[in-house]
Amino acid sequence: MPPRSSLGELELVILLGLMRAGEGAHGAAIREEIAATTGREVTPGAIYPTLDRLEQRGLVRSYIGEPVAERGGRAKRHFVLLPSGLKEVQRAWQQYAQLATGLESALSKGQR
Amino acid sequence: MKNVLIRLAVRLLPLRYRDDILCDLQEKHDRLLPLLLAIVGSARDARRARRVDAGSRAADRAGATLGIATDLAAAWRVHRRNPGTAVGIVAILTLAIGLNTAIFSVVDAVLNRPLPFADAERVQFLWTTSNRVDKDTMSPARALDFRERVTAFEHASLVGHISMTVTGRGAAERWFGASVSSSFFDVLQATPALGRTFTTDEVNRDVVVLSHRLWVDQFGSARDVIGRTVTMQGRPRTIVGVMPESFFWPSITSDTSAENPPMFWACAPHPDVPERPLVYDEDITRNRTMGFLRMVTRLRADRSVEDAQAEVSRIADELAAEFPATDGGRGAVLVDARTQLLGTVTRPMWFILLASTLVIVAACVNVGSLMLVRHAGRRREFAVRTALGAGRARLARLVVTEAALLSIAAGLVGLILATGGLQMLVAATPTSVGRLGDVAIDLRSALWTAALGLLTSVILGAVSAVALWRDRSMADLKAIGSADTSRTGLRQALIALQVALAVALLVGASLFGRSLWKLQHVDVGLNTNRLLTFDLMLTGERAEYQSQQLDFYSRVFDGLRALPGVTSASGAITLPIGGDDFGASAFPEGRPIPPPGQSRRIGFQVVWDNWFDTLGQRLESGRDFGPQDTRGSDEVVIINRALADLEWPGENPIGRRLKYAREGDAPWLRIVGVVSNVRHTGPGEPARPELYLPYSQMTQGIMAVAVRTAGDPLSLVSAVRSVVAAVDSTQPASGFSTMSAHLERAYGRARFLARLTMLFALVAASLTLVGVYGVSSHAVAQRTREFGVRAALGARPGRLVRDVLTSSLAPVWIGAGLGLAVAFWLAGLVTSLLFDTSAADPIVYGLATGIVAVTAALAALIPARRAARIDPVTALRDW
Repeated sequence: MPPRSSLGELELVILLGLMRAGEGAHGAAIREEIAATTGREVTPGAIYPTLDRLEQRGLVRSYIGEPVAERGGRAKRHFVLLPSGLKEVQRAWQQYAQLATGLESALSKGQR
Repeated sequence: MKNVLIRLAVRLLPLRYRDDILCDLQEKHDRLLPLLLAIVGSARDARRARRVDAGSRAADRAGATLGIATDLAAAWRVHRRNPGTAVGIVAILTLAIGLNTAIFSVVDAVLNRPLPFADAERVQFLWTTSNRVDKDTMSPARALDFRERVTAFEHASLVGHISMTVTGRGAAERWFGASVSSSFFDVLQATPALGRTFTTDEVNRDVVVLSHRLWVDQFGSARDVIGRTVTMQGRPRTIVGVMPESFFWPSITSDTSAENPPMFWACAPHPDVPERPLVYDEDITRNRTMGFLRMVTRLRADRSVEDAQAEVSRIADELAAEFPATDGGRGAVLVDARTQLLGTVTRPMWFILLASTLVIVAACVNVGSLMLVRHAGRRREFAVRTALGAGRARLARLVVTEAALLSIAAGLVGLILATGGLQMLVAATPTSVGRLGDVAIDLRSALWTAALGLLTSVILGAVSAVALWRDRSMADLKAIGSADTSRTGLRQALIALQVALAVALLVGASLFGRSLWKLQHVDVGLNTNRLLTFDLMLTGERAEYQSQQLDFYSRVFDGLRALPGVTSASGAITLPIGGDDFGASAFPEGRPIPPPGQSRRIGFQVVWDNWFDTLGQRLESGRDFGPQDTRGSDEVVIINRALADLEWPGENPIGRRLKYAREGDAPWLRIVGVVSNVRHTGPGEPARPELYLPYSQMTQGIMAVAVRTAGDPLSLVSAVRSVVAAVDSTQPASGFSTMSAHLERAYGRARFLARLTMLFALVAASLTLVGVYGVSSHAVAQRTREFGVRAALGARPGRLVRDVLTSSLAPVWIGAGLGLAVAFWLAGLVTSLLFDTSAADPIVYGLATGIVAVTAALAALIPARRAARIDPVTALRDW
């Protein structure tokens, strides 16, 4: 059995969002990506502390970009998924996949 | 507005993500409401997201519980490290809290404690009204009519004041008390401390209930007094009860005063009408002219006060129609017990409490600015704490704890100070204020102090925390070296507030000081120096015959005038200033007599010869009474200037005639003299029209004697007593005092207000001094480098001094302006407490502003001079 993932559900969602939004995405972009694909509105209040925690755990890193005029000259924080972060996402995904094994028909019922 | 709301809402967000989150949300939401909602939602999510982190959650909780003890210890260390400031702060707060607590205890005891009657709100006093007086006493028949006809009264009792001569207990004495209907205690529903009160079917009416004071003073608190007999006014009376100390019952007069409370309550003789000094057996139930009765009633539980008032007014109208000659033009008014017993005392007391609360606010503001200065010196410490992981909330908690520790200390010491100061305060309180006997620092005072401590903690804590919160450089160790400009605004605002409070309190003190000064410099119309006063009240055979009375008085005056040290002596039925107020009318001959109730009230005096000379009243024209004015001779009267100007303006009234009552048998009196005015009812009231009759033609069983002495008047008391006793040992002289003492009592309230507001203003002004000094010292210290550079570049010292003064005094001017506005508004509330002083007196306002400005300038001058003396080399090297 592979090592257990310690990612919470929101953490997984945000990391997946980051992967979809691409290298160097900022908080708002991750949010928009999640909203666009799943319709789930994650408030900035939830995004930033979570990303922060992920950074503390060494799963992502962030850098301050160039100041942007539209933000009143404030720089955005950009996030990059680190290899260890990718590994955590993979572990988590495997766990979900293992849990779902044998439930394919039930899980896809009612869906097209 | 929009920005303020957003800034407030943003505070909900964790500081670390605040800007990021806000930027994101502002990109998304243009409109205010969705933005605010989004901020609130984000704040909730942020909190939730952080909570997910189990590890940090546990740490947080440990931090929180550890916090309080740690904070207290840290706060203690901070104060230990800087004991001077801590002691200073505690001293300032202690003074303010102690003062306020003592005042609260007095105000609470006097005003808030329930009256000693059951359902006190149903106890109502009934007074007669007319266009002459607001609250007048009633005649027996009128009072009985009200008692019988008004259905809203459950009980109604007539009350008469009477001094009784007490014999058989050593030397004859006079006790002041009340003769009351048997239902008196049913009206009040007050229970005795010992024995019983009266019953309405009292068979033996020679029964008396003692006041607590009389029981202690005259009976040594003996528990077996019940059943003892005392001879009062020649009648043996049985003591049936003693009232408790808490039974507050002053003399019932139209004005509120706790002076001269009755020492006993005697049951009124049959038919339940209170006793009068001379006649005991005479039936006066039909008398409608002797107005000596007060009436206290208890309303039925099912009748409202308005309803009862409507009923008494209606009955007053009925009586006016039935007895036009005596009751015409008269109404009736109910006055509730609280207003009657505490009425005019209420406003000054609340005012003093309010003013002393302003002192607390001033102290808080002052201490707040001191604490800000101290925090400025601790920025390095705060920055290190921040660097070690303390959030702003954590730091705020620390400074709030520090402030709370000081407030608690100040509260505790303040309570002790209040206990000590209470007796001084009670002694300074005018005697017209009642219920002062058992004022003490009790649980309520302690709770009040606790509330004050809490209040100061909150104010100080808030000031500290706000200052900390606004200081954005806190997290930045590098910024520590630079000048601290972040809290200058807040400090200046605090200074302005302090100045405002000081100006307001100084205006108050000046107004009351000026009012007292004016009152003390009123010419009352008589010479009050070295004037001994006492009362005579004839009883028994002495009182019965006029010739006996006159004989007694002449012999007493012969004896008094022969005493060494006595320059002159005379008497009147009552004293000006310290005495009663008897009223009559004056109807000049040959003019129509106005209808009842429409005539003007004229002061009524009966005097012994040489009265005007003894008191220092000037005889303006005509003559004094003399031996030629006897019972058989032409009846004469002397009037005062006010009456002469009222009735005979520009004419000579000598030789004209007038009547003092409308009755047909009232005699015509010939005016033989005009004397100067006297302010009979005290220095605060203008002189009223008065007429004087001679004892020789209208003798009375009572007399207030005035003796002008060469030396200290009170040293003659025993000699005077012996003179009176030598004439007749059964007629005691009582109530020895001096005219200056009566006058002093009349100044009581004005002096009380002036003294206390002066004290408050002094405290507030000193605090301003300390505050301005502290803040401008700090400013100078902060700007040392700047001043050094400027001095090096050739700035003149005078220029630097001016600079510091200008910047230090800027908030002072703002505060002074604010203070003047506040003072002007407050002064409007106290106009009724002022004597002959305009609440808008420009001198007062100018003076107050001047004092504060000079004080502040002096306080700022010391640091300013320090700035001018800064040595450029040292200043630049040290930084």
